[in-house]
Amino acid sequence: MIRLLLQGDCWLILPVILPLLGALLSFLLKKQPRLPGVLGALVTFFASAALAWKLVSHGGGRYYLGGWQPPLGISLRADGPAVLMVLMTAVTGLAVSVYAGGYFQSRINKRGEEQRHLAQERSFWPLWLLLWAALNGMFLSADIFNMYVTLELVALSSVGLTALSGKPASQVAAMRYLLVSLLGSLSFLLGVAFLYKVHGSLDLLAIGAALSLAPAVVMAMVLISVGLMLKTALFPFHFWLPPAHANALAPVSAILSGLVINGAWYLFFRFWQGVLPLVGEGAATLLAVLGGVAIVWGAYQAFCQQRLKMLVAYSTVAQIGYLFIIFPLMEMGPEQGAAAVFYFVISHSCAKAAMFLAAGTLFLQVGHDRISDLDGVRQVLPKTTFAFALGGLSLMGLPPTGGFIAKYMYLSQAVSQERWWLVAVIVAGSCLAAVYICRAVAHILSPRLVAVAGPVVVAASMEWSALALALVAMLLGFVGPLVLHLIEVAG
Amino acid sequence: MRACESTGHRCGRRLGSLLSLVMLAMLFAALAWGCLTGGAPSSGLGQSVDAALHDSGVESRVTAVLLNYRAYDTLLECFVLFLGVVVVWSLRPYRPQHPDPPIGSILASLVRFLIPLMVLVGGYLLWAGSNQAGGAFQAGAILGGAGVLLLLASSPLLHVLPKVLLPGAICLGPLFFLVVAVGAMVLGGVFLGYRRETAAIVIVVLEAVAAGAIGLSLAALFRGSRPEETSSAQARTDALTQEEGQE
Repeated sequence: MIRLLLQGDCWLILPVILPLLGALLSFLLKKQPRLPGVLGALVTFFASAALAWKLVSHGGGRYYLGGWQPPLGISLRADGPAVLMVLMTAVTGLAVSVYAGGYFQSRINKRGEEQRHLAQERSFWPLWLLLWAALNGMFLSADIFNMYVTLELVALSSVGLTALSGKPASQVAAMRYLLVSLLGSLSFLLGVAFLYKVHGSLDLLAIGAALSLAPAVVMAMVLISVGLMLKTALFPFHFWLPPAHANALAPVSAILSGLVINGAWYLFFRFWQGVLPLVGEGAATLLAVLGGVAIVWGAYQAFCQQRLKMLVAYSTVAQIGYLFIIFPLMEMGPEQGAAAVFYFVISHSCAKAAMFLAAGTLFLQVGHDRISDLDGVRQVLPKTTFAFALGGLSLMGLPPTGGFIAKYMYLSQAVSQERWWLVAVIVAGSCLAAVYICRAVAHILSPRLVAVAGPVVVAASMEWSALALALVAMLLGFVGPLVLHLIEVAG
Repeated sequence: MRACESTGHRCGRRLGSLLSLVMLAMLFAALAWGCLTGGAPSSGLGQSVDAALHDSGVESRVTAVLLNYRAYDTLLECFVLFLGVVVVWSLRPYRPQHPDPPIGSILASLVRFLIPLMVLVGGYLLWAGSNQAGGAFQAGAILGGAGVLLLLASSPLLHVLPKVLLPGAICLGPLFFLVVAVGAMVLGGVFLGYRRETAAIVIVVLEAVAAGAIGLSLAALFRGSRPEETSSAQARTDALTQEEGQE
């Protein structure tokens, strides 16, 4: 067994198997779901870290499941971007799991309805670990039909998590999310069918090598792109995101905004990586225009919100724009472009998850999240407010955070290719982010003591995990070369 | 004023449905364009499936694809079904307004007549899957249908499986599949890589367990909420509904 672990390529499959096993165990042990849940998260974290270490020391590789080579069988692929996403999921996921443990305990302790909170926790752990396994499977998959299966698992578990809070608003949002998500999945599946019809293979690398602009392939790419844009909530498909993300339980909001969005975008990126040299300027510019509108519109909407979680959710709508304005920049230098956008994805994941976790802690302590009534909450929860502000700094792109490095790479690409309108969009987006974040931070850091200064009801692990994630987002500003080295490992 | 508003609303709705009709027509035209102008479609993977068939342990192409070549997809699909049960059980129990009507004698005798037949057909489909059309999902669907019939008739047969064991039984399918896959990795070095000699027996056992779990999961999905909660948690649900109203 040890020999197998040391020699084999089974590292690639472990980040998928271990959370699946954790999900089954936490479903079976319904009296104590937290123990297998947190243990599963911990083991998955270490497996993902080991995969990253293996990638850096031995290079990328493919894993043929069942020993069947493509096109007959399914293969997994480990290269820089894929493993970076698995690692990002591991870091954010572990912090969210630690947070969730404290969150459910605090809620069970707080009020009389412990039965309801126990039932929520009992469903949370299996759903969350299944989601984690599906995300890892999606990042590592090299087979387009297998991608559809993982997409289905991600969508269904996300919808279940969204509906978990039981409030009418979240039920409505979850239903809308389910319908949009199904539409996206089916559109993706139709595209996959077209690609199989033309190419006779489901292996993404084989398809990418033989890609042409035949009508059926164009149709397939349009269907796949629209389906994934729906799931990524790119403007104008963002309408379902704010209510779904803002009305969910706190750890769920962090998972949805920090991880799930990135999953659908990652598939979009993988498909477009191969097509981009063929389609030319027009399509890439269209994506960038949609991204630019998303940045401005999302920021404006975030500024108008009265509730903290709605503000953070609309900020996700804005940040998604950055994931799409990269495509025109990738025509000249695909490697630098990919490095910039993946740096953005990982720092956004940590920062956004930290902000949602912090907002959830404030909500649990104060009992509401109306921004104007949060004055002085800093004196009750200093660590949480600090984590929120630190995450905000990364979103604005101020040094020395990960967001700064990412935006610096974006800007240097845009300037060197003389795309001034993109420079303007990136700078404007950062300024707008500063405006809406300062609006929230001004209240929660205000010296006036208006908020209820009752006893602290939130668990310490909730404060520390949000702070740790925010610190990781800042730390990403210092470890740039390390991360870039990981991204550049070829498959 | 109000009449005017409602007319505007209706107009907007009509415009919306017209717009979606136009978009659907455009999508249809585009799909037809993609289908008709695609040139000769590729031959697909039929030949390579046949070529590898003698290594797969089964004679049916569909079963070979589902449980050997692309068994990883099937493993994940088993988890999709399990996930469906987890999601449905996480939602608040639904309580009908009116009590169920009494079970008629026709339904009761129909169930007595049909259930053994359905179990027989399910078992046959499972066995037939190794060399012709059939297999775990088809057998599981028939068994699921049998479960729905039992639920509709509130048959005493439902109590054969104690409610405490239901979660374990639903887990059994995906868990067993996962154990087999990892076992193959520990013994042979590859995840889901069965040896050629043992592939046939492994696939049949796997299908039998999967069919049982699929049937049970489908029946559980039909039933809705987690079984032990519906009666004992009645009062809690009432309190919850009141509280939601206040919120």
